[in-house]
Amino acid sequence: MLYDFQRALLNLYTSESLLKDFERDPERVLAPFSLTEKERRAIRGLPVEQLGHFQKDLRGKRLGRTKMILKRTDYVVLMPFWKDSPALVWGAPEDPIVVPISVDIARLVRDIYAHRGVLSMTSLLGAYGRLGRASLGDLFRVAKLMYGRGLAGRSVFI
Amino acid sequence: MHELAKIPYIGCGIGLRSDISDETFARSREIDTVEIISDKFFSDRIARNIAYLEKAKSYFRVIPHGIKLSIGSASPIPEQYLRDMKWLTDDVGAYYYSDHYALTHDDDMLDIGHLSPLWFTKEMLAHVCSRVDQIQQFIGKPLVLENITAPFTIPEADYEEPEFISRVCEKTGCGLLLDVTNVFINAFNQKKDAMQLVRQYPLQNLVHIHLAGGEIHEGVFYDSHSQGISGDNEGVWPLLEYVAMHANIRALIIERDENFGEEFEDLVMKDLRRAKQIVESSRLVGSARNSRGG
Repeated sequence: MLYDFQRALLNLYTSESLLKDFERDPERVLAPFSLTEKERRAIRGLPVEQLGHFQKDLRGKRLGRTKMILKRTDYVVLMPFWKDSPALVWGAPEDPIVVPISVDIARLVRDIYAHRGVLSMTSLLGAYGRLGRASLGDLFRVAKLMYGRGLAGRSVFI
Repeated sequence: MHELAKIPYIGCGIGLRSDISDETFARSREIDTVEIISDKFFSDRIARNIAYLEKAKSYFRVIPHGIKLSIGSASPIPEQYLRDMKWLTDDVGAYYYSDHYALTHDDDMLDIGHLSPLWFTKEMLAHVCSRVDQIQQFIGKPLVLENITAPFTIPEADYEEPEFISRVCEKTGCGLLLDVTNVFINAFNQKKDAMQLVRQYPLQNLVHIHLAGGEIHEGVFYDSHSQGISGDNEGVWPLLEYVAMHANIRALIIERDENFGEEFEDLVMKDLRRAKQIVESSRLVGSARNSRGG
């Protein structure tokens, strides 16, 4: 199915550990995706080395862009992918703080960005109410990041 | 395709980038047009961006160029994104909207922030054509789509890229943004003949050209948009000459996104003048041929 085919590809492009697993055991990595036989053959036929280069290139570009934003603003940047997961990035552009986060937490933060909110309990509760997917545990983890790392009141950027 | 025929000649210009913004505005007499990255003006329509857009409009003919359309995505195009495309195209008075033959994201968190290749199958062809039709109907203007550099090709495809693009153009009447540098780079990396490759694209639908300078690292040519169009990139110019003689180029943009250390003259202006000379002398030859009736 096209949707799953593309999710499989995008995951291989962005997750370091998944690509390593794919190289060792492609069938196991592809098992969770609903794919036709032709789609399976296509993904299995991808050149892993070139995928690895592409992955590094994407990560480098993403980090470069993030550093440019940090240079000009004091935003907290949501990177949709870092090594194996999304990440929040802030601080000095030469040596930014990168904190991996779960996909569910990333969705909350993205919703705050989409509603032009700053990081605050109000915007966080608004996102939680709208999404209906995050857990109370995720709420707590975001709040802990916001207040524990001094991010409350800062704007988010993607 | 009759909609494409109505697009007049716009001219030659550069991508508008904040790092070279002042120099670009200072050279407005020599730069016919600027291309803006549309997504920067969507949804976060903050006052600073809109003021900048208004300034660009006052100096130049502005062409909108998107990077996040992800024409091949399985997920539906968000309604807001369609509205943003229409708003910007109308606001700058553009004759068309452009983006890429690429996959950049799905509808959830996976946004790779860059262009990845499509899987050129019959199913993808139907899917892309359907989305092109949807967009052209919504914005009321042609969509013009660009070929990309291919870091790899997805196997088990039904078409190669030029044929896929030709079929989309034929079925939808959309336009072609031919990135001549991308053709050159793909030919280099895939060990193909660049001139033979460029001939395979649907030049009858061509509207817009991109040129840029890339870099070779460890035997691989990267479309870095970081160099002048000389040295390793010199081979781009014969391709442009060929295309200019065989297509009706309405706009040409030199792309420079990194490595701004050189003087503006060396950075983009020399290449812009060379490109303009090629495009406009081909237009004169074509015009003379038409007036003679042959």
